[in-house]
Amino acid sequence: MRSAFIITIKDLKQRARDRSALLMVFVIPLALVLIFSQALAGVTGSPSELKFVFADPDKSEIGTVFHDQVLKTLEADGLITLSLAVTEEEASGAIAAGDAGAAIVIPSGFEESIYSGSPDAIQVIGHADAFLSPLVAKAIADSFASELNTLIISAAAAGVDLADAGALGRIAGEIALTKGIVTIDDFSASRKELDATTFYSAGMAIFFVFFSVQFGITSLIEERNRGTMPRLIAAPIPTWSILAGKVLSTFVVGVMSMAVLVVASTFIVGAEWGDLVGVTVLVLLAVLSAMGIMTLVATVVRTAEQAGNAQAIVAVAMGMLGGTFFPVAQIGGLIEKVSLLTPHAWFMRGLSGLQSGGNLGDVWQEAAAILIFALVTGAIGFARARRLVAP
Amino acid sequence: MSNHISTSNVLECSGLQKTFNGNVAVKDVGFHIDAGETYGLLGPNGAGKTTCISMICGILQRDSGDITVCGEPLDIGSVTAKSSIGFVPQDLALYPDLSARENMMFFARLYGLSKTTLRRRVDEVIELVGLTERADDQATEYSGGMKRRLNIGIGLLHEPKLLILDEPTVGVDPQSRNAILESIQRLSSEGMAVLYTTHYMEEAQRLCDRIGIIDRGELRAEGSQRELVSLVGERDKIRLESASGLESASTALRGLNGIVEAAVENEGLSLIVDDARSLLPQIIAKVAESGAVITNVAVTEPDLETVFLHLTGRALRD
Ligand SMILES: Nc1ncnc2c1ncn2[C@@H]1O[C@H](COP(=O)(O)OP(=O)(O)O)[C@@H](O)[C@H]1O
Ligand SMILES: [Mg+2]
Repeated sequence: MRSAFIITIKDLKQRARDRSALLMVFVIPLALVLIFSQALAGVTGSPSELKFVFADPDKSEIGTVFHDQVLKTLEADGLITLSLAVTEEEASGAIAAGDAGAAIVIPSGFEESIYSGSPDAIQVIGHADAFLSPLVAKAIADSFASELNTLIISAAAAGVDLADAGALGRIAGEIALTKGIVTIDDFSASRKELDATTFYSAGMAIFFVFFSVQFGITSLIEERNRGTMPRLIAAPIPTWSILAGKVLSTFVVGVMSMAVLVVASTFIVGAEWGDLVGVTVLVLLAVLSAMGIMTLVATVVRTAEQAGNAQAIVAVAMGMLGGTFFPVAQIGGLIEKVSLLTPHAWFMRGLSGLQSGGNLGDVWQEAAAILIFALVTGAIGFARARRLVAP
Repeated sequence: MSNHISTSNVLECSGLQKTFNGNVAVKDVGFHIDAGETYGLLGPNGAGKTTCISMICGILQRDSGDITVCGEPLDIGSVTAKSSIGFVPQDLALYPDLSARENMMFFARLYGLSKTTLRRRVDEVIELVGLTERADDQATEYSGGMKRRLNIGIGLLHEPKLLILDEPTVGVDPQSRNAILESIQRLSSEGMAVLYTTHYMEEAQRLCDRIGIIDRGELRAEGSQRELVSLVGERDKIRLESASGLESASTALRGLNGIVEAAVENEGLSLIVDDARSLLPQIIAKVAESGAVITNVAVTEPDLETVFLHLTGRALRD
């Protein structure tokens, strides 16, 4: 083991002298986190920033139900902040004054239009600079309107007279009681995503660790090209210690690169990583999986140059797919499923579990998934890398 | 078989065999080296010298054969036997982004030098290879000769019983070459056993107590320089130089009575003849007939190149 440590220390010394490696391992990821967090500062939609103003000039039963059962529920859940206006003009004024990001207005004559069979739309007015609030307001209004429509049609089919006193109110009330308000589910789901700052910090950490660890296997190829490999094998050390030394130095660099990002993003941009033990385990596993994948990729091609290219391609592709640049979990569907073929996606999932208060026990599945990536690719890659320890 | 190995034998190898994809690179090679003895493997490029050395250093798996170093059997995994060997590879083997001192410290640690002796020994070797002033500069900034000297120095750090050098002077300026050869002679006089490969006859003659002539993977003859030259017998060596036409001259001369061997090597024709004085006029006439314009003729006593020509029918350098 002594000889493995000697090789590790030599490798680390070489790495410390390699400016482009230092850039890739520490500087660029940190710089990107800073840039992202700056750029996102204006548009992030953390729920407390979803400020709505509601106006019901129509003074209808439907408007009351919408306010009491939909908007108030969202507010009670802490998902939005709600204020009231009497007229559309007043609502617009609140937006212009920056008191709200979006206004939802039940236009006057709305209830009338429903009796007439061609309902008007619920109006949504957005602030020019607000990004998320108008979108969310529109989604809430639309889903309410479409549910309302469906219920009205089925009520009519069942022979209910809409003009009956209270009939429309009861119908609208059903929306809130049944699964009608889709938006509430949507929001509680999206709350489980990482906040933007932590998201990009985590994304950059796992994205760049793949580049941080790629030198491990390429330095093994380099030892052969430079002729130092025969010298290492000729030395009175067990040959396994050569590989062990490389694995260890690669692991150390990978952990350092991620650790620096975790610590720096916490203190500089206020990222919230969550339970320390959980984060540590996820980070260590992520480094191992990156090592396994990069080693495997490098050993299936012939030359050191091809290895470098193939590694970069795989690292970028997996990073994109794994949702380190945009949250694939929110897109859902096929992309989300495919993204699970990357350790990146599991890492991000695990972290969001930790951020919402979980500990290692709550994210053991994510941890296990990353471990499986590490074990499978690592075992094959390691077995293939052994043939590189030859003159 | 170990009972007949004399204790002074630092290296003993026999029956070494290596085949690459069906091509025999080394075939049944065996020799021994005593303490304080310098043994040369002399042969042209591709003869199998590096392959032999790689097996002896335990970096290449042999197909068959036995190797013992200081009485210890050697294999790829033999830590003990390897610790007695200092290895200087044919190609530069150093870390260009580390300084000479850092390169040496690293390898000295790998060879198990203790903390107390480490720095002293590294300083000594840096001095020995004349890199004291540049010891802390990155090796990438060194001249070719300096890199070569560092390459050799790394092999000396742990004061090995057996020093193995694979063509250490290739691409080295004459002055550095001389310095290298002198330090090898000094180490040998201090009792180190040296295995030295080269395709330069002069180096083998100057350095080696015994020489093995290797060609196409086989050891063709072995002995001191005098013993080897005596294989050629009471014959003479003639070397003719001409810019062209030597190939056809060589063919024509082979038919002549009294010519033992004829081989062409870069702008020269080497001949082994029974008696140069009586044959020279005929030879010059034959060469002129075949169209070559002779620019130089030299008649000498046989040397190691003559021996190689005699044994293989080919020139040592082609
Ligand atoms: N790794 C290898 N794979 C295939 N052939 C090899 C390999 N190493 C050496 N050879 C072949 O073995 C023969 C001897 O090579 P080598 O030992 O390098 O000769 P030398 O050192 O005397 O120049 C050559 O024909 C060479 O092409
Ligand atoms: Mg060679």
